[in-house]
Amino acid sequence: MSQESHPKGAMKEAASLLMEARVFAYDLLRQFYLREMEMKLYAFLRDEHVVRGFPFADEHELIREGLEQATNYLDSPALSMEEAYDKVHWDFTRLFIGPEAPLAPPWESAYLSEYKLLFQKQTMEVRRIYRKYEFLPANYPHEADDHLGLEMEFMFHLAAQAKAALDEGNLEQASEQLKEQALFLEEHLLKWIPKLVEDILKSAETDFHRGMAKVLQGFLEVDHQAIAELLQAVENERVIC
Amino acid sequence: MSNLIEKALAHRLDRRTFLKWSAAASAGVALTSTGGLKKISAELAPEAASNGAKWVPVTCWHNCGGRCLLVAKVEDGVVTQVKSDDTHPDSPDYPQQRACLRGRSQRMQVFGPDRLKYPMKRKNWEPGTGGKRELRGRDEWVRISWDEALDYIAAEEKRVLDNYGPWSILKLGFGGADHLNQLGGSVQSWGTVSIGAFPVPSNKMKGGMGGVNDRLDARNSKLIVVFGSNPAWSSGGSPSYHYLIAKKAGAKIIFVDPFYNPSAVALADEWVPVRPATDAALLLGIAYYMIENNLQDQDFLDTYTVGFDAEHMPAGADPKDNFRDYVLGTYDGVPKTPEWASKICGTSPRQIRQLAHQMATIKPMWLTSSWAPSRTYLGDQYVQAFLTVGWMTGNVGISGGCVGDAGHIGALNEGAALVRPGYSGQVYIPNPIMGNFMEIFAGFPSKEKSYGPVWDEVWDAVLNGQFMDYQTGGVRDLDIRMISNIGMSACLNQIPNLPKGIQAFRKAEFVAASDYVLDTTAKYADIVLPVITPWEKFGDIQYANREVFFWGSQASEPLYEAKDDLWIEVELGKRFGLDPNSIAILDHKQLMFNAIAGAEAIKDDGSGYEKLVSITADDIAELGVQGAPQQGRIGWKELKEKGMYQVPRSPGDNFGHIAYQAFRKDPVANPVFTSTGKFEIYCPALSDAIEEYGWNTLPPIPKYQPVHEGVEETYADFEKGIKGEYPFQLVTIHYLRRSHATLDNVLWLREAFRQELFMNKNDGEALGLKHGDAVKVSSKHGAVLRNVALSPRVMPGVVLLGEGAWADMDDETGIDKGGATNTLNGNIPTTEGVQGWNTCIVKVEKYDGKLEWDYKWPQRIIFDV
Repeated sequence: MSQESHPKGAMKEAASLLMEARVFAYDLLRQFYLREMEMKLYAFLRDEHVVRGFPFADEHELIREGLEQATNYLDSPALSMEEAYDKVHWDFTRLFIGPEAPLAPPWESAYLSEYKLLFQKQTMEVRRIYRKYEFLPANYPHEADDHLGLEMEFMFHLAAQAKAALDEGNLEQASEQLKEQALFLEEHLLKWIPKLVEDILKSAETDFHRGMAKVLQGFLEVDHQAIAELLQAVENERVIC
Repeated sequence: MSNLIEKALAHRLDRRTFLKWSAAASAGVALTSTGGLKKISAELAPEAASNGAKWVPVTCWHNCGGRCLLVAKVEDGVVTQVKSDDTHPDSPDYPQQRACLRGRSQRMQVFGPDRLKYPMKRKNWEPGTGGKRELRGRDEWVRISWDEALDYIAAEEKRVLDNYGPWSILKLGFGGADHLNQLGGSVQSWGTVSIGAFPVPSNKMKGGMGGVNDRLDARNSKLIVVFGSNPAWSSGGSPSYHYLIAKKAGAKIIFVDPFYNPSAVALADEWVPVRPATDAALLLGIAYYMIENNLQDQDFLDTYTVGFDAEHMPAGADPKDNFRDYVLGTYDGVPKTPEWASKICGTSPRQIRQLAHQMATIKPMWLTSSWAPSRTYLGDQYVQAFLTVGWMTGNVGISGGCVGDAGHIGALNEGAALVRPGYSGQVYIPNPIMGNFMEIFAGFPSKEKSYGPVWDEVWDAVLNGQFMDYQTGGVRDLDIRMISNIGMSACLNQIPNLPKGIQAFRKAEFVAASDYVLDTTAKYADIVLPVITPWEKFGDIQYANREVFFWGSQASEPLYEAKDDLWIEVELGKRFGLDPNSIAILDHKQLMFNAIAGAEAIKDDGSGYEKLVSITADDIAELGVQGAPQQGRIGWKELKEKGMYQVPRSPGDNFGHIAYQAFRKDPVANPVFTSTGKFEIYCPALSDAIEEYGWNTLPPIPKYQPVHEGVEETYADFEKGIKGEYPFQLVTIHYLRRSHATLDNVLWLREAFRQELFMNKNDGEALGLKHGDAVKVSSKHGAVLRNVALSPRVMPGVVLLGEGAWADMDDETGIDKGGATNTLNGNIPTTEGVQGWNTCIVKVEKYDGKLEWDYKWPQRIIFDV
């Protein structure tokens, strides 16, 4: 990247826009994965074509492919909206909830712990990081902290905080929060999400969930790059200041 | 994927999308800033953080035939490690209570991703009718709230009770806290299950079950003969070790079993193979050898028993009906020689004679049996023969000698509890329309109330509306509309004829279940409720062998929305306006306090019991419970920290036990509780009792009769030795992979124990099978798929399969890929309500498809063909 070619203000604006895109992406993903989507959200996504607006489609083949798959599902006239919603809802239930063993158990420890259990070392590590930023799961301590939806929500909050810090010119804070997110990606999300996505792709029955799983994986990879660039920009900015 | 910042200017986020999205959150369509996470205060954040690891004793709660200590390492609410008993050094006298692979796998199920987390309902269920009932077991599911779930269940209960009454709700379980018991009750089911045909013959012939000595006395034995037992797999904890100590002390050990089982491999000097359900014939052959050689203890028989010979028959009995003449064939012309026995039981005549000779001449002898050989059609004939032949050797009431059944936590170890918890004070309301199941389980039925259908008839009762009622002595009509498995949930998997059970479930208008994982029963329900495990509540007490009890504490908060079973009963009761306190006490601290404060240990001189636990006013204040300080041997906190109390033992202590010692010393002053006060080899009270149940007649002396699905039926022509359509006898063994149906979802255990069909090597090779091949096993009642394990350790003509595997029924083919033994077992009611799990004949065929070992299956998603 060539910061020299941009005036300082434009650089900052670009960084802020990138951050806004990240916040939006994480916001959307947490909505999809925290719990079963309600009908009104599904209708909104379909009618307002929100998924199509997911950023970074040009940056990663998986995002492009996944968005196409998911939006095709949303737009398909083959099913009534109720039927289509119902399928997405059931797919979520069987993939992530139960009552049988979830086909894609959405917990980090279910993939990374030695015996693939819930409430393991990964859960504690994630909890420690949440606490540092004064967060805990709403149903703490009954639900495992390292659920996909919770990890997405954590990234959403941190992305939003980092953006606010940058916008306010608090570069030190922005830098610290970006580093935390990079670490969270490296030590947590990027370690287990590919395995989870593999299970979703193997077991999902709807193109919506297959598509969104691809988007999830592609986006995390793009975001890792985005954070690296943002960090560098912020560091440069700090040096310049 | 680079220069993302630069591109951000060019490809800025679509403003329109962004604005719409922002509007969605404010319109309540999407989540606002917080969704799954909550903000905590800065001060609280570090405070709530980890305060170091601590070791917490937890229970190992299954009905595995043992009880052991587990201790969980808990860090920040997470169990990171589990260990077992290291509270004192291990010794033969004072053994540690160490856990087996199942206990050590316990956290695999408590924290398994497959835990039930939320109440769920079947998608195509409809109130009132059940909707598409045929979809039970294969429908889609929808998560619902607790209020919805409880409202639905209470409404269905109300509908059925109002329209049809309590006789139309089938509650599968064993009673206890049950709001239905205040609303008129419910139909329950009964049977002797584990203990087979031992209760009634034991009660009538000798005044009660059991009859073996204390484990330390086993060291005084010269010969230990064990029928149908594999303590290494079916009696968790130390029983196998106690056998080993007895062997080292000089006892010869002989195992009699169709399977050269792991305990036999480790312990036995001799293995005597016997076909399933033919032990009675083997024992008659043994009796013949003893009589022929005059090796029986005639003095003992004359003094302590009735009915052995014509000279010792009770008044009013035909002298010709004595046992001796039956064995010799005096009147029926069939001498029960070892050759006669061998044709039935498959044991060689030479080995029968060897066994008989040793049993008659090596003294003292410890003769014991598990209940398994009696879990057959007409299993009572085995119990009669076992006791009678044991008594012929005179090994009763003496050091090193005894005759009795012993299994589960009492294997090789009997006697009064040396330490026992007190009564918790929990509410118990009896079922107003059902007799107490325990009466009939223990072989002391009464006619005051019905007990409902026996387990073997319960699915037929639902499907056909009739059952054989003990109370009326005849057929009784029944109209089941609802099946409730709330509070206990393994019945569908664990009761004979599972395919018929599924039909029954699909017939009912409503089926509800609770569990902590979706086992077979919950899978076929309309609504499932998630419950906690004992690791998620304040405390849990487990009884154990006579020397110890365990007090487990809480290791985890309830997972997700899982609730206590009793809370569910209370909440359902509230919907009928019942007083919560009349249903169950939910204050676990108080319940635990009562049980621990009431705990007693035996005094050193063995003369009685004294309080176990010291409790201070501070302890009570800290707990916030009602109670008074007391003096005992061990402090409340110390006991809670240790998680168990064990009475140390040593030879010559005051806690030994010799069964029937008083009777042996003076049978007149200390008669046994039978109609004659003696051991009754000829026992008309037994015949009468069995007739009362309505399914069979049983002669008053031990005889061998061919049974339903016994060895004879494996032949097209038994005399000529030509095998028939179902040429193999199935034995359903206790299997170390799990405890009954519990733990079968744990992949560790699946990997270690693979639910293989054990088969004799030559039999397998004759069918063209190789070790590990997929086979289809079919009975007259159902079919399962398994991989075969070929071994010379299995008797020819016999196959073995572990009971308790979770059925996985394919509705199209009717084949159960999970390998549940109850898919194969027929539901043929017999004698005293015995489930004949070891009388089942099967055929075995090579299966064309591939069957992956099931630890590699995604849980519940099975295999590809």
